[in-house]
Amino acid sequence: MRRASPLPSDTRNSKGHKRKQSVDKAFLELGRRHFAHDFPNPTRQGCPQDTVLRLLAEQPTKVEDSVLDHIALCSPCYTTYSGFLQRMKARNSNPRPQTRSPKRPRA
Amino acid sequence: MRPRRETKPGPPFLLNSVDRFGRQIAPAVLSVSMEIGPRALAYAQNLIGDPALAMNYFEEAAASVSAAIEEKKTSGAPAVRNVAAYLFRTFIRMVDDAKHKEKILQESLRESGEARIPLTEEAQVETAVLLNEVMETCDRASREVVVLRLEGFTWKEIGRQFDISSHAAEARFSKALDHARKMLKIRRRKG
Repeated sequence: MRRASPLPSDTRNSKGHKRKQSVDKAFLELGRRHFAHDFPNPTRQGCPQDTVLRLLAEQPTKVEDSVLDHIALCSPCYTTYSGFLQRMKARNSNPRPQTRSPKRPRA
Repeated sequence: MRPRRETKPGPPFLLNSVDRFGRQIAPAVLSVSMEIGPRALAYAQNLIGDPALAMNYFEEAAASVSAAIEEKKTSGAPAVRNVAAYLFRTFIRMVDDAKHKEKILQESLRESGEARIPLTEEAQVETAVLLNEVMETCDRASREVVVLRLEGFTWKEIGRQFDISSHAAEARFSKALDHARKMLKIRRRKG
């Protein structure tokens, strides 16, 4: 019998599609947790400034590869970067808040 | 010929003169509400199922329309010409919004249920090793795609970031994982 694994499988079929989705979610959750908790850096050695992390989230091409390498090995920086990404995501999904009011009926 | 079946009159349509927040419903709106109420509630009941909830929304809609009419009167804006249509649309919009919110809630509850899959220590290690391999061996774009995906970005959002289609973003993610798997296999074979 095959053991359930959180790693995304190579193959896809319609029968196991729902199961695959939940497995993928578990994989993503594990991955996020791994980068956010498994690399403590209490003294913040070699950490870039928050402005650089923000730039990495908003304009990644303007930031050196070394910063991306660093966040994969430093949980505090990953968490900060993650915060900037979430803010950017929220901003992009709600470009401008709209108030809804009933339209005037046509004559 | 079969005799025509007698239809029983439905229960009387009763509407409060205030909504559940205590806002007054203007007498003019109340009389219009009595006219369109049964039809509007039938629509809402089909959609949300609960007649009491539908009635609450209807009263809210009537109170909102009353307030809007009053506001228009004081500000000198043109008056509402067809109160029935105005009220009906306000109510339908309210019900649709409620339905939409309920759908989002159901989805998030389902997702949080799925997140509670028991995750073994071995699975955690496998995931960590695979992702570390991705971050070590893959090109920069692939690494960024993986991180964005971990952070809950949809394929469409990732595609937009890189000016590629959502399918291309998904393919890049899968390719990165496949590449990392291959590298891991090679490394393990070498011992």
